[in-house]
Amino acid sequence: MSDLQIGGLSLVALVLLLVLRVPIAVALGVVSVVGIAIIIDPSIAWALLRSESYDFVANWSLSSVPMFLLMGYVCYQARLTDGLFRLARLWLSGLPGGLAIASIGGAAGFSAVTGSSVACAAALSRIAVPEMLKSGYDKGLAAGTVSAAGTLGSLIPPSILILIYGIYAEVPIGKLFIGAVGPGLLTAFAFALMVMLRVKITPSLAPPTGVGATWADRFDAIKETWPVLLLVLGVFGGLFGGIFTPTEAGAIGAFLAFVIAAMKGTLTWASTRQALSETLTSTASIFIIALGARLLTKYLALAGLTDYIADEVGALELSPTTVMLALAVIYVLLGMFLDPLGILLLTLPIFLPLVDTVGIEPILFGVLVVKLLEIGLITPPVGINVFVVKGILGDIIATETIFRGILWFVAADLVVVALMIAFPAITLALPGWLG
Amino acid sequence: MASIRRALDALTGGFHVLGMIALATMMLHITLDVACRTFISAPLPGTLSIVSHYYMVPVVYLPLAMVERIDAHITVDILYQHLPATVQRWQNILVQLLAAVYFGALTWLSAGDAWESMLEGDVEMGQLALLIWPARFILPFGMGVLTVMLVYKAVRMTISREPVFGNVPAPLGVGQSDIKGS
Repeated sequence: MSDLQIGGLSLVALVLLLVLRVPIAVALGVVSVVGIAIIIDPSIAWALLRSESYDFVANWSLSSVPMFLLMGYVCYQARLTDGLFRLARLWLSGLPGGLAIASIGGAAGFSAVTGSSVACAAALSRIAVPEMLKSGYDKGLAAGTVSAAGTLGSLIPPSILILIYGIYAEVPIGKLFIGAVGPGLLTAFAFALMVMLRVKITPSLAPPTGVGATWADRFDAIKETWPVLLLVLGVFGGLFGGIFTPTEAGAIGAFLAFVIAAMKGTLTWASTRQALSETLTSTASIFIIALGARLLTKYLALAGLTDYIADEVGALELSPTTVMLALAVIYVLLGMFLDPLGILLLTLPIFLPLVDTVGIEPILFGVLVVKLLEIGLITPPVGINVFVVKGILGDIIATETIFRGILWFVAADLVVVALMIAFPAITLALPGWLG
Repeated sequence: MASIRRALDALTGGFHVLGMIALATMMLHITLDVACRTFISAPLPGTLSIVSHYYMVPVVYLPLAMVERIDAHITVDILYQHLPATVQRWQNILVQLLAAVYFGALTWLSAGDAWESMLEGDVEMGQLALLIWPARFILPFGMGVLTVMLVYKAVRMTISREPVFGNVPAPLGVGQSDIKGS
């Protein structure tokens, strides 16, 4: 059997192990180590496992992952962002489906301080859904909106997924962050437009709230959002003003979040401990998978499989657009079943060389992949955001109802993806313009 | 068995606390470095190496046992949830054992690595000469406790159908976060 065949069989074995519910980290590691032992030599496999387990983790640029996670968890635990929804509500509630649109606006704001979609959806479902239900909103629309709007969390910077892509693909994090701004805002806009059209056609979905907000109220609410504004200004101002690097930005952001929470009086010992603890378990589970993905990358390269796939697809002389469309379909399908981080780390070893051969702009590819992974968070049967929202709301809304409400958002998402592929400038204009 | 569980929980909780300390210190150290560089043009020497070896390594490896304790390792549950309970139980046991073999091997390899690096007196030369062999010992400790945790769970699942930890909460009250994931 050739190395290539063994490599191919290993991928089948990998899928089998995953389906048998072997933790992703273990499945990746075991397949790679056994594979290298077979095609080269067991001693090489051991040596690689031994050196990678330390060298991969003892890495300065990877420190940004726990630091940005911490920043998001502190904001969530200390409720720094609760004022955002109030602000968005006062300004936007006059529109058809105003509360839903306010949720989308609130999510966009929350996204600027958290890198996690799930945190974003969780925070919103706590505040926005009860309010929408009180006003007689359709349950599917209410829960669907927060689940879908939550996905902005990983698109609008900072974003853990983009960070991991950037480190893995060796693309500058700052440029990726700016690149994601366009698609992030476009998504928010598309969601809002879709909600407005739906409510125009079926007004009973979202009865007018009759919140008689005065302009004084509206400007008053802006004062309440100072923590978020300060945080965003501090982190992105410093980052793009050249005071600190993207790697350092996470630590500064986390520190600022603690300081702001202390000033606001919402920093308690319990919330601090909870934020630190959650950051720690998330970091450990992310890195142990990333270690497995590193091993798989080395193994597939040794087996010649990555070159083989890149060559074969390269020989077809497909246009970058065709390849992006094909990859989009693959990512949406995978996203229906798997965790976004798992998909990202499983597929990059195989797809990155291919993307390089075909000549797709790496910034565009990174942002597009993250956008596609975000769709996976809300598609059935496994839609992690939906489960989180359902977990927080409890028995008020059935899971099926949320998925039904989400279909419209998925449709809007697909339009956004099509636009991103058709007009690369949506992603690339800002990073290009800022140099 | 109860005393093994208590010892394991003590280690798991202790490592988790050390991880939390490393995480908080990492944030403060990087912030201080940036502040010193910006305001008094005197960055802290060796920040990059200290963060890499003495914060990142414990932050990643020390909480692993806790991640297993609260069942927070990321898995694919498509097929699993449709299996009958008996199959689920045996499949769980086998998966725990496979994970124990993987992390057991990593424990063994990293212990050898740390030992050799100690004998050599491994130092990273940078802005300051940083002794790095002690950091290498964090791996076998973190993954060693994880391996024992995996074997303990497998044994408990084999001899009893009761949930492994019954209603004993995880150390420090750490739970499956409602916002875990990305």
